[in-house]
Amino acid sequence: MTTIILIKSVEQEQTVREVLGSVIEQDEPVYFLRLPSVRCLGPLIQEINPMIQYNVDYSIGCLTEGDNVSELVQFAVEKNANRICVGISERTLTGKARIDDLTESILLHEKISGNLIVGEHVIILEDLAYD
Amino acid sequence: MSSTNLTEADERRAEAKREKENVQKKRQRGEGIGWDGKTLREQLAELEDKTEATGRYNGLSKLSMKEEDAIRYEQLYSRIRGDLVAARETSKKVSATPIVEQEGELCYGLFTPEGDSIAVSTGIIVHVHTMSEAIKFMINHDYEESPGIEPGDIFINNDPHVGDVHPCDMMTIMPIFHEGELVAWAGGVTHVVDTGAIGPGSMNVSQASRFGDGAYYTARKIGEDFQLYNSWKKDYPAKTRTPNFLKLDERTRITGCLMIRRSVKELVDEYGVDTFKQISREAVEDGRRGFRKRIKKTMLPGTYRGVSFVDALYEGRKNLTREYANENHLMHAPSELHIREDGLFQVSFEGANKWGWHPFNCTPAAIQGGIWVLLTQTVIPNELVNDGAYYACDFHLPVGSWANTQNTETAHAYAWHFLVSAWAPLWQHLSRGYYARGFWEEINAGNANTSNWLQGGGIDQFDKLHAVNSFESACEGVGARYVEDGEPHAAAIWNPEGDMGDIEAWEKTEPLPFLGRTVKPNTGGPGRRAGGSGFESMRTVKDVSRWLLYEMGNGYMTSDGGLFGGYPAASGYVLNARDTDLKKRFENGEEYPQHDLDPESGEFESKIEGEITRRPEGISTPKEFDDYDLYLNYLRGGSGLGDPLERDPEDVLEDIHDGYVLPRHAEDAYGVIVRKLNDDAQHNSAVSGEFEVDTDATEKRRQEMVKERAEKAKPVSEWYDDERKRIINEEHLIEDVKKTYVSSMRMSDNFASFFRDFWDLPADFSFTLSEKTERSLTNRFDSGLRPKWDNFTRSHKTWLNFQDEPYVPYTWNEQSLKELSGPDESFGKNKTATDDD
Repeated sequence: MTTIILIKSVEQEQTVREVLGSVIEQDEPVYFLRLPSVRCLGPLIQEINPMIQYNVDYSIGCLTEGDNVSELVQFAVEKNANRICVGISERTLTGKARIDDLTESILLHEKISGNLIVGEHVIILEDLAYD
Repeated sequence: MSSTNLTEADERRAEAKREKENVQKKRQRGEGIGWDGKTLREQLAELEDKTEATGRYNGLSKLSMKEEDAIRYEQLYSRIRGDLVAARETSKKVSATPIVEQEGELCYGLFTPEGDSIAVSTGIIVHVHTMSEAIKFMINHDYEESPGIEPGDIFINNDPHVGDVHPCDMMTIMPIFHEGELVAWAGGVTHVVDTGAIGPGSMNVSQASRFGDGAYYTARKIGEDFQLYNSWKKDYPAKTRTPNFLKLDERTRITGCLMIRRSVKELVDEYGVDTFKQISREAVEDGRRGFRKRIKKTMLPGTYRGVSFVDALYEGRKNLTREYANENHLMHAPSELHIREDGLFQVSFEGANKWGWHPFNCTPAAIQGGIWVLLTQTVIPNELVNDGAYYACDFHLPVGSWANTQNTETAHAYAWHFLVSAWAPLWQHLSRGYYARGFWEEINAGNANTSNWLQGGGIDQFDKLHAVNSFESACEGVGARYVEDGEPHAAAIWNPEGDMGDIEAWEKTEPLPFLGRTVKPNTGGPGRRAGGSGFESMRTVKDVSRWLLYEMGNGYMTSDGGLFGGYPAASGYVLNARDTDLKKRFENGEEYPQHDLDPESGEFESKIEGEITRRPEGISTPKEFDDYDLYLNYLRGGSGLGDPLERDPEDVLEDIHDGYVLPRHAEDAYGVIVRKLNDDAQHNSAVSGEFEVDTDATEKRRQEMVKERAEKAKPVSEWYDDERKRIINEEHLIEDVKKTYVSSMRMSDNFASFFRDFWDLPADFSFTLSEKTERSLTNRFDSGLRPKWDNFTRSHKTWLNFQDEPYVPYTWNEQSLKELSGPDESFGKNKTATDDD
């Protein structure tokens, strides 16, 4: 199982921890992808230490300026990813997760489909299938 | 500048411009300058995480290049290493000060993007790791964002808290790019002659805090497009007494870095960037494995313990910058080395005492770099020398101690004084391990205390403001080996290629003509194998005004104690004469002092009139000297190994003829009686005369000495009881000794428990201190921490106590020294060796 964690903010430590701690199995490959608006994942990786703490093998990359969603989907296809995880950045007044524009664009993308699962800090599109 | 050089410089700038455009494009896309679009900080974070998780550098389980084509691997690595050495040898001839050109006080390194050294040149290889820290500082403090790291940039650092031993080691660091990616860093260090401290010279000794150390340049960008900023060129020269010397050394470093950059570019062009990246990674991992392999092969697993001390006496000194610095210090360095079955090498200085208001404090980079100099020359001379060895070791350096002040107020100008002294037990730990495993050729009693440092400055013979720092200290005696005597006047531990330098070269740049230079007898420690002798230079002063000089080194104490019954090297002393009649003696053709071969003989005093200072201390603060004054520069010897009474009398006779031992000391130290046959000077020695051994008298004297020893000896239990009473009753304990132990006990509950337990003292035992001493300790303990790093790297966990359990275990109070350690401590709690180790 291959997982992509899309990072929209360096404040998403809880999102990453939830994915690494509860969603993926040990030794599964993980790709941390940051949006261009996030300049550096260094502090986040230094805080979490994914291999030391969660025993996961991972890579770090970035989505370039432009159509982030198309690039993300292309990346997912190349890696044959099984799930894409996006941190919850917006909530309703009652605390429920709100699908933000980015997540909505991924869900609506014509080349990708999967099951939507909402966690405490993360929205997961899993069992991905590609057209 | 020739047209050829102009062309090359222009090409370099054009290339940098193209590279910058690549970097700009990547930045616009949101990519970093690291590999595969990562930022450098991401790359460093990932590397540290994977290294610690797997125990292998960047998680590398296989050295593919080495395993699949070992010859090619060795060729490539040798080419990198050779180009670094070539850069050193060439650049010091292009432009350099005598310290650099004569002594070779420079070093170059090639580093991974994350700041790990891949290879280093010869020279002051302490900087195998200090530049690493400076690069990591820039990465971890987001220099990629501001001020930016771009092709053609030039950075400088001399801040010990960032990554240096002391501020006179100035480093130039340049990034090397390929198609918009930072593929490596080139770095070079030179020891400069003056940093603009409160006193002249590179390592002033009279300051209480960092604010007297001189200029600190904290990982600063000082140029772009391979050109120094005007602001930099206008900045630093006025901050030193020797602007032209600093400019020369800067050109040296830049020349070397450019040569290294060119070498890397050629290698990438020839073999491809992927090959270069691969060997960068594999070489570091190879270095780590080489270190582990060597430790496993040569050392016996277990815990090795020892301790060293050295003096830094300031009470009553003039010209101190603060009244509260007017006190004596003794460095206390309890040392514990754990060798694990898997080759893990862990060093702990738990119990080290508090830092002080003196310039001998250390930062972790200084300690780690310094210990690397030792280890590269003792443990891994035949393995790759790079940061792989750094990843094979752990250090515990107590926060707030002299070994890790974490306080930017502390002074560090001559960190080596404590550093060199503190690692003395490490020599002994290693040698005991080698002995146990039968590697007797590797055994060494330890290095000399690398002093005296002749330093000073004022208006020189050219009527210019100047400073001097004689590097004759790069040529000390070496400790005795198990199978051979130590080399006399050979090198300094911090620069294995050190040299005393040509007198003519020093006289060109220092207004201090030599009256003599000779081997100094009785400076190597006596032993079955004798420590290498030091040497001495008698200097006078000529054509100066308002000229200051001072001494720096160990005095009452010698930090290296000798090994297996060998004696320590001689300690230091100060000898100078002011307001002398030397000029008159020259004019009248009378005798004058050319040396001080036998300090107790009165010979020096008989050949000069004036205000003579001779005292058994190693440190003095700057004092004014005038024309025809005298200054003895005495460079120390190494310690001895084995019982001196076991030394072959014929070897002692040879020592006398070579000037290493005075005849009367042959009897005192070795029990060897010699007869003088004639006064002819037939040997290469300042001590003239032909001697022979009186075999019968020697045999008799040695038997007497053995008997005298037995009569003086007492059972350990009796000694223990006597010492315990002395401690409890505080008898014959000077205040400085009590202060040292109280300081260590306040620094470390572990040490306090051990000390009380070992001496069977009451649970609340502490020494009674004077009001002044209490004030001194409170003053420093209340200063708190002022760390330099905002973002520590993963590797710095051994710098700081930020985990509940100390990373390097402390076993002094788990097992009494009176008990033998059991196998569980070394074997039971640790993983077994793996194949790749």
